[in-house]
Amino acid sequence: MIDEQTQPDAHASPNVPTAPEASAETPSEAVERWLREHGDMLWRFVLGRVRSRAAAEDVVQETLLAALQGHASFAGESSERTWLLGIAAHKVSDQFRAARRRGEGGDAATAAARGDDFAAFHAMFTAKGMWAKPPSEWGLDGGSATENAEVLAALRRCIDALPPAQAEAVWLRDWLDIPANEVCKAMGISPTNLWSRMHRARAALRLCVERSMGMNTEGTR
Amino acid sequence: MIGFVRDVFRVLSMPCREHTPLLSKQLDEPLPHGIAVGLRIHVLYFRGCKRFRAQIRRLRDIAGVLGQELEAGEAMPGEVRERLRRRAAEASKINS
Repeated sequence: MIDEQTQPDAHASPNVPTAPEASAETPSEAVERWLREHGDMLWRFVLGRVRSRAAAEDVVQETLLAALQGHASFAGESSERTWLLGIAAHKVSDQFRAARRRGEGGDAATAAARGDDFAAFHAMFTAKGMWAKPPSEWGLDGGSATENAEVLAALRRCIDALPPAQAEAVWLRDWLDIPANEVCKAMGISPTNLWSRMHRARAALRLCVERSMGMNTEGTR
Repeated sequence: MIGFVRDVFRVLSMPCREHTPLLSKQLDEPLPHGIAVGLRIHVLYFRGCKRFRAQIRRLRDIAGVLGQELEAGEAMPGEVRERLRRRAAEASKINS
């Protein structure tokens, strides 16, 4: 299993696709178009992840500046929206990393960011790899509006508390429903690395949501 | 056919811990037929894996609802858009 926390930051110089329009338009025209075609989506995505509108504006600005720098090398392998959202997700992750370095986010966030939930997931197995504590029934009724809203709120907190590289993958893959191959290109990672991140993230999210919702964590066969 | 049978038996011989990454990967891309069939048989017999699969699927579906909110949320305010446009134009002049 690849531990992405020990991997170099693959997104520091993302392998970014070049828009077909890139050769025909000036940087200013490109920004104009990005704001027109993707500005609202970028704004909503970032605003939902950071604490204030001022912080959201800073992140979107950093996203556009990074996109301008990578514009010439963008090769059109993923859609332009995916490319921009990938950069935005990475910029949001940078903010989360900085907040954690400052000790913000509380013990739960810190524990989750250290990957404790994934370690707890591994502790659910015997040495031979069989379930020692199988996942318990959640006892959810499967779809009332109140229940969904509660799980949604818990899930949102749990995703934000994941190690940033995993949260970034979950935002793009499960949240924004971007195909896995496009997520790999946008994040500059291999499919194997993405699957590893997603597995670690989903196993950790399952435990985090279970704990947040106060659902029974005692395994029953 | 030989590959299919080999994949089925390979998956059936693995312990539950090794099934969980495959159950997750299955949410991201179709698996080879033999592996998918092996997984389907495995979860019939191992309730832990069946629950794990159902729960990560549920969380993925709920995360999709969060994504749909992005389609209908607040538009970027005009003054923010204008500031971003201006700063990006300044940066592109400096870089050129």
